[in-house]
Amino acid sequence: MSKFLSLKNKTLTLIDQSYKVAVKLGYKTSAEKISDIKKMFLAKQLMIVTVGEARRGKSSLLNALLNEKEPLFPVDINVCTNVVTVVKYGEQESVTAVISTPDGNQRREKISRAQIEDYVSEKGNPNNYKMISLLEIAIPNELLREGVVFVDTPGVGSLNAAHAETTYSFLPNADIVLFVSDSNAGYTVTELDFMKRSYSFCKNMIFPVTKIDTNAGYQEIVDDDKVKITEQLGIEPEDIQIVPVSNMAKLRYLATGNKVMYLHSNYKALENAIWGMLARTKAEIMLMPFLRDLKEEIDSIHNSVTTQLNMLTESREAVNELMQAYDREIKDVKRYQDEGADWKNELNYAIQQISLDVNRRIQEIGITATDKLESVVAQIDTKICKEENYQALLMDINEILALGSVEIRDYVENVIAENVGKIRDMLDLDVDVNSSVFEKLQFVGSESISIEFRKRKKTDVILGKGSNIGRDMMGGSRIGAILGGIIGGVAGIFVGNPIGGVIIGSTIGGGGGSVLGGTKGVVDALKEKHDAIDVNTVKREMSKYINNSVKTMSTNSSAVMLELKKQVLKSFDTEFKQRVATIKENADKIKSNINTADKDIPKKKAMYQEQLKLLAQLEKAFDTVAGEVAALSDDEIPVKTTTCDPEPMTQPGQDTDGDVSVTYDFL
Amino acid sequence: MEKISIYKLMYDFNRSDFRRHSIPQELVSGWPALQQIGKTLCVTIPYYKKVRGDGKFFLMPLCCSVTVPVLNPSRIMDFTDYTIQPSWSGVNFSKPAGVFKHQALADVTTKQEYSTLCKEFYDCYDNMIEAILNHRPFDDTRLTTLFSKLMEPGLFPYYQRINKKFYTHFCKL
Repeated sequence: MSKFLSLKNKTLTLIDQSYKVAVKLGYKTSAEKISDIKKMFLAKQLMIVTVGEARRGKSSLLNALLNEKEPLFPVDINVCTNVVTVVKYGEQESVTAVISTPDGNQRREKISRAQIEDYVSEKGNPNNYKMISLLEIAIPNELLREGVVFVDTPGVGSLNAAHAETTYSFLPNADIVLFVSDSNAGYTVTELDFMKRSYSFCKNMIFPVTKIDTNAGYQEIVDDDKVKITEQLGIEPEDIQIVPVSNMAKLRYLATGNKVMYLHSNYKALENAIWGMLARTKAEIMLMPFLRDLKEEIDSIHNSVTTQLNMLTESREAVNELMQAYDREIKDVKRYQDEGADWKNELNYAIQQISLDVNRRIQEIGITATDKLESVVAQIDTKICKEENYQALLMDINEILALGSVEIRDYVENVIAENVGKIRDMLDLDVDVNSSVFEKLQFVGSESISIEFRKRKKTDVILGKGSNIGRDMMGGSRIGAILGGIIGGVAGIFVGNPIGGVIIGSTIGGGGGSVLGGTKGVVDALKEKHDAIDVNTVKREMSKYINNSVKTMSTNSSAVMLELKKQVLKSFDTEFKQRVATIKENADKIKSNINTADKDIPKKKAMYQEQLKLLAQLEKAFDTVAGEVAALSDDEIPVKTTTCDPEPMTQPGQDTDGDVSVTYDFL
Repeated sequence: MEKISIYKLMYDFNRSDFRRHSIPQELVSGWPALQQIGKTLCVTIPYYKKVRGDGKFFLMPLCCSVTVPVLNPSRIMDFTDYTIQPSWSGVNFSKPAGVFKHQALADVTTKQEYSTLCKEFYDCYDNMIEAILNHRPFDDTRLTTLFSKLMEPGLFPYYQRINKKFYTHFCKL
């Protein structure tokens, strides 16, 4: 058994022991909390999520990483994953499809490994018509025994907006992200944008670059990718875990046992990177938080028992004083629970202000998108009516809307954290906001837009063409008359009648010009083979799209604000109730001792001392486990040697005062 | 180079993902300490719990600290949770170690006055950092006075456990 697994078991035993002690000593509230800690501890998994654009080899990568002889995921060239798949440990293999039903519920359906392709791929389940919301695979794979869960997500990118939404919704749960790209091309703008968003959720990121078997010059792409990662995420180049791999070579090795293929696959480097990162983070993610919570409960019981013991020998006045303090605290808490409590008013006001601000920002995003539309339409005029052009414009507009919505999400997240933090500090309660709610603020645009140009009626076409001919004739007549007049006038000077020359010249010129103009109009009309294209239709459709998007963003933001308010109020309320229950429990215990007869005091003292002994044993066991967990975090950092000297003490080019040598003895 | 503001650094760090994910939200940051790790000048930010009592705050012992490079605060050099450190096992983290306001702040009667003191303290701190980054000497008289006044005596032993050299140099309690 690994050191980690053994510590996980020890932590579980410690939680069970603490629960028993809490029950034995009559601390119902603490016992309930410890029971909750156990539930969360058992449910805690370490999630490794693969993300990236479609067809980058995410599913193959998981197949290769899991070392399964028979690949789990379909990886045919024409197959594209469209459902989130979770692979976790199970004593026996089972595959379950979680299916959304039309009434908004979910049902679970057991399927076989062979059927996976029919459920998770675009080939077997086009546009996810089977309404699969999740595929859960449990396999007896040793790599997963410690609670590691692999998640395969649909590709994000230009193919399918629903894929992007599904993947985004999974990111907040990720403990490690494998950002998969391939070696045939560097990161695209969409990939970089997605990378940034993924990084905002999870800083433990590894960058596998697949398909190195298909591009001998892959190192160039990898180097280029590295530069882009530094630019995008600000990670120092030496800290970037980018690993070029060949999924095909690793899968070949799994099928044939040919070790040369394994070497060629470079999977050793990727496995080292993943398991090394896991070793560094798993104790911190899977054990520490629960140990901290448990310690809080053990301490709270310890304090209560100590207080009871002390109160036995204290004067009646001191006991009364303590009881009054408890009463005051309960009153305070109840006052906070009142509808009109100051903090609730503050929260309401803050949310109202944030909502107004968000709406203003959404309107501004709408205006920016409209400005973009108008400038593009004005610049390229009728060319915009070509589908490729208006689809490109749609992408630009989507980018404006999406980037704007990311800014709004960041703003709301920060400002809410600040406001909730203020209230939390004021009330001294441990409440936090569930960040997944902010995801709803994210805008996901339509991938394409269909514009139908109105067919013009035949009579409209004839009248239109006729009017063009007429216009050309009139124009020709005017120009001909002017030119004819000038020529006639000059000729008239020679015959002694310039005015007559002008009149004759302009008449002849006007007639000639009219004929020439008319001819041009007819030729142009004949040349025009199609209906006249309508720029206004494009403009109108795009404007409609922008308006609808802005409306959706507004509606979503209102829903998020409402949910946030509900969530925060509920969390505080739960905390208040727990606080009151704890205080009451402590007060009741002290009250029960108030009338203890003098002769019974030594017996009670002995009882509390016994309880303290029991708690001391528990605390000792706790210290041992916590110490081992801390040591594990230090011991198991085998892979990456983090160099800790990224910045020189002196910036290049800065004045260092020449030869002055200063020492700071406090550093 | 823009002048480093230690207050801003702490402010930004307290809004970072690491702070939100790894440090319990009810903790507040204490007085920072400088230390040199390799060639890098780092700042250690300690955290502790502050509990409101009758007209005062009870201060619990420092329970964790985070160390980041002054010039690259998004990179975590160290994070230590003292509640599970065997060397801190004798500390009762739920028993108040001190109160706010302490005796040295008796003449400070309003929040505004306290903020002014803190601002001056952080200004002096910024000057110190600037001097260190430029290998220049600096006058630490005012910083020592302010540090000694602002330092909560009850928490001082815990600050010393974190970085004895630094806190003992500046706090004359």
